[in-house]
Amino acid sequence: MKYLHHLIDKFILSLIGRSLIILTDKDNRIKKELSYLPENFNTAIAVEKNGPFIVLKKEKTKLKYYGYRYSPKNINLKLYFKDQEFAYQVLSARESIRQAFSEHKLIVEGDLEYAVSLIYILELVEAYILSDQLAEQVLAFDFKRKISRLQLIFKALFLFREKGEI
Amino acid sequence: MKTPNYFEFFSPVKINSGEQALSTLNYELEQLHVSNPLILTNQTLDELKILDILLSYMTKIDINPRQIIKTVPNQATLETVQKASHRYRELSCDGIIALGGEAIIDTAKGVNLTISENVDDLTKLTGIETAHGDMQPFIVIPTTSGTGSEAALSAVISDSKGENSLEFMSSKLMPDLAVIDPRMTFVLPPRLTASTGVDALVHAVEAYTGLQTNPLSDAYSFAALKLIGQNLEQLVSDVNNKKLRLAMNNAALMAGIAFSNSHAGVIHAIGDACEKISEVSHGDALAVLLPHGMFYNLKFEYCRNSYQDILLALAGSEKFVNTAAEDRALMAVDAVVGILSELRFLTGIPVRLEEIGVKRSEFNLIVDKAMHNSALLNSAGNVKRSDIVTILEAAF
Repeated sequence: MKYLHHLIDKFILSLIGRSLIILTDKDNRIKKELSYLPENFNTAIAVEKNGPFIVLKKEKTKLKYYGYRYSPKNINLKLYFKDQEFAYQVLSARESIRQAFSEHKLIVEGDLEYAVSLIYILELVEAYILSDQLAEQVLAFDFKRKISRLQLIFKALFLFREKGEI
Repeated sequence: MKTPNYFEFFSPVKINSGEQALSTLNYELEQLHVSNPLILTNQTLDELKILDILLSYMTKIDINPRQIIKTVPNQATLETVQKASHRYRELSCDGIIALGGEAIIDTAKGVNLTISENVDDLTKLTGIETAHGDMQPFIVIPTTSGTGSEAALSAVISDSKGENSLEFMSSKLMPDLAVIDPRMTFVLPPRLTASTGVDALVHAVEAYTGLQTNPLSDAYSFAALKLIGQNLEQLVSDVNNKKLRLAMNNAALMAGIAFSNSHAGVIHAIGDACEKISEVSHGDALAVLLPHGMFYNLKFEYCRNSYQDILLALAGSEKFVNTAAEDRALMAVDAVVGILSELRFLTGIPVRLEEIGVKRSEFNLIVDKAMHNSALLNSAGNVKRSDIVTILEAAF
């Protein structure tokens, strides 16, 4: 069961990372939060400390997806969970990311203000991936999609992954 | 009381609190194997002879004047941390003593991080739980009651340009020992006593209603609120009263333990933003925002339930029993307003943001800053920009 949860975690995290790139052009709330991050800002998100991190880079107001990396270098902000079961609770929408943050389940390496920005962004991306009913639970207010769930997932799965150094 | 599905609670600080608490210092230094400590304080505490009181209780070790840094500024900065860390290494110190308020305690936490993690650039350790090494023995002797820094797992240190605040949150930042001796806070005048008391009140209230509220932090919050309700107003009228001072010192400490585990919330987030954007006093901003933040939280059922306990703690059992169950939450806000009004009458603490120098034209920047404060993530409900504007308008 634990191995299955691990696979689900990795798949959903990858989907979140890819969806985020698609949504950067679609959702003004995400654009606004991204504008809070400095230029060439590198973010890495993982299920647990030793696991592979999905790496995202902000370049000229756009985000680029660099896929999974082990021990990525030159990262400004790292987010990961204390344990993969905690990640599973969040990534399977059983618990909100801010609740996990409040419960000390999330480790942050980097500036906390930027981490808060990223958490808002992740909440929005999660809401897009979930059903409308669950999305409203995550965001606690009426959520209007700028792209359908199916379209988003389809585009995300075929997203170009950047290669080379971060 | 809300029962969480999961919570973490960590409070490893040994607390020696009482009229003769400093007398235990020699014993505690020996227990911690400290014979060559670095003492951090400031010029004012030296001039007020507070430092002399401390040194008079450290009779079993020799203190070289270079082991005492008296130039810690009113805000913890990377530069001060680097200089103090350099001195620590140069003198081969084996422990840190912080004598002072929040800035001095945060500076000492920064020194402990720098030494224990063996880094030169502290910015690499910003964030949550980034420290992994064995920490140096660390003793805190607070001189202001209110911040709760002596029991808190956080430190805020300005970068070298003074433009950004670097936040560090780690259980490793907790001191080994906090010595709460009322002689060390006697010099606080009524206005500052009121302001620091309100700071403790906000910590206790917010710890009670944050997302991570739990039975252990609730116990500390409740005890702190009880002490604040019984002692704060009296102390402000009689600032040299030892018993009242000690009670408020303990209240601040317990509120610190509570909010260190359950976190602060929307009131602190907006208060911090006002402090940073409008450069107003932290305590004044919190005093103004507290009732409005509580009023905002009344829309959440679990906050209303928690506020019933706050009424019991602040106003006592008679008032609690005589208030209808559905009115208790609102009456808790009223009890807080009552305390603030009395403090305003006694010391002139502010009740409006405009009064302390916040401008309406700064609201956008304040909202932006508050929205990116990690305390906001711990607040009840998903606080939105419009909610913050509503609180600011009400408090203006």
